[in-house]
Amino acid sequence: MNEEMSARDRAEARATSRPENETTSGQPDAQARARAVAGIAAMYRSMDEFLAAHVVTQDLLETKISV
Amino acid sequence: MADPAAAKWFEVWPFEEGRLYSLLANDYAPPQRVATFKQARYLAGYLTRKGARSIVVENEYIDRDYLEDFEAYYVRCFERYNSRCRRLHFFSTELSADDFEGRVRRFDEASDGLLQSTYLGFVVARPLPEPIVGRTLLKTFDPEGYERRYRAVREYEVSLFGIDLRLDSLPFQQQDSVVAACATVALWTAFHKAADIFDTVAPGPARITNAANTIRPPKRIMPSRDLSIAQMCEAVRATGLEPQVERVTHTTPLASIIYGYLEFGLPVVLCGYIDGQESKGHAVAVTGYAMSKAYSNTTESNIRGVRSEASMMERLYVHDDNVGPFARMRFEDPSGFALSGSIPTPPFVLQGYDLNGLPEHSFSPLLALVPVYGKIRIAFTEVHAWLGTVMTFARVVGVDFSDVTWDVALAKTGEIKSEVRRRTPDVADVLDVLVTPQPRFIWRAKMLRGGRRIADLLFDATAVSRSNPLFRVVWHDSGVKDELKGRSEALLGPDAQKADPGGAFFATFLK
Repeated sequence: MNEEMSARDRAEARATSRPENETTSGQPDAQARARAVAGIAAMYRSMDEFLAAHVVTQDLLETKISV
Repeated sequence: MADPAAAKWFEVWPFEEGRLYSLLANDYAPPQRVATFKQARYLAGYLTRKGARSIVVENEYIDRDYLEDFEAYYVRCFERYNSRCRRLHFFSTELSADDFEGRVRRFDEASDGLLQSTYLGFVVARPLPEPIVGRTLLKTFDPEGYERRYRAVREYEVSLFGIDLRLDSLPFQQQDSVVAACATVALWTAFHKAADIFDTVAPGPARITNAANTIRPPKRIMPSRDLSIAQMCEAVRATGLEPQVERVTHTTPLASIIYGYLEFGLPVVLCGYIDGQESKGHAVAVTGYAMSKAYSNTTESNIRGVRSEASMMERLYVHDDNVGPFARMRFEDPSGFALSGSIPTPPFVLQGYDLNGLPEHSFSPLLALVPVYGKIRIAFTEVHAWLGTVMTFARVVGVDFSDVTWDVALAKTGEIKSEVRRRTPDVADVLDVLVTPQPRFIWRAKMLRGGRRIADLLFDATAVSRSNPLFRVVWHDSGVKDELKGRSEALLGPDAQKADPGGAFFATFLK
């Protein structure tokens, strides 16, 4: 269950939260910032996909309950 | 010896299984047949485990719900069905007819106290051929070292010949395929508790069936064989409430959904398929649950990084009209199940168990339907989506949230303020939290670490869907907020998310 989502989350985590986010001066380098921006964008896409997967469809509403 | 004139109105019997079947029986359903009814056998087992010793029978009882069904259908049959029922009361103390007559005859505080303390509830026996188990209110099981939480029960007053008894329970009845299909019965149960919370009506089964059929099916309304989900939603609207439908998929936090509404006291009607009967849907009303001490991926795995306290649910208690009240269901690994037809790979499987712990039918839910007050517009799923975003955000900015868990439930503002006042008087902005106006209904998401409260995220349950519903965060550990904020600003800049869809959300979250 949820394997697909977990795999994506893991990939997202690998791409965006590496310990080398910061340079030796303590400032984030351009690559780290770019990864974080991409991570934030992926975060909102994931949220939209999650909500879209839970939209109640007409065929679901037509399910008959009888036993 | 009991007064002969009064004796015809009541009977007192020692409790035993065969006697129960005889008292539930009628001219159409003899005791031998009643003994084959699953619901009757379940009641016998349940009451035996509750320690029932005596049955007091009201021989002529007028039951409102049955009377509505009678008026809607049975009175117009050629066969002369009786409009009166029999009501069986159960006690865990030994009573005789003479003893009971004495207790009825004169008020005695100690005597009434004994009856109250040993009262186990009642079953209305309907004078019908099949659906003999009418409105049933039974006492729940005690925790007994096991964390049972019956959240969707309410207090009922029972008058037994002038003896005032009280009981915390929720009504059950057997499906009646004439005026009330299984869907109707599950709604009927849910409406009883919703009426208690929202001060709405709790109509009888026949009225629910008629209300549902304002969406006209191309067939007879009664006998009622089934209801569609859309019809169930229409029945909810007829009571003055709105149907909150939560779709169940492989990424649905089902246990959390159940927990979130049940903690508010609302029963959750689960609709789905029973294994082996995929062409016919089934509905049960979830009324409670039991917690274990460990998180379980079988109950609920991390979804978008969110680990829920609800994943410690070990079993559900459901009113299943095919079984009985407070019947047990456990989350099972769905990979072991392959339902043919409608759902070949079910996202969740709930396995029913009888009172002896032997497996019964397995049930795969397709959706959760909750009757809610109209102002509650934000579904649980939307709140969960934001929590997933919080978890991802923490990872993106490099803050370790791997040990964070969430406890999310619907609540009223008064409950939240009361709890803040009692639990956290030392929180820096507690006065502001208490005196600032809040929405009436709130989704409260407790952020926890090893059981320690980090923050309470308060979502406006009355908000507009897809906008930012987060209106306040009560931080119990502001160090976590400071770390998130500091890392975010260092990596992304102070205004990085202003233009993002969640800009307003994160502005409130890290305020």
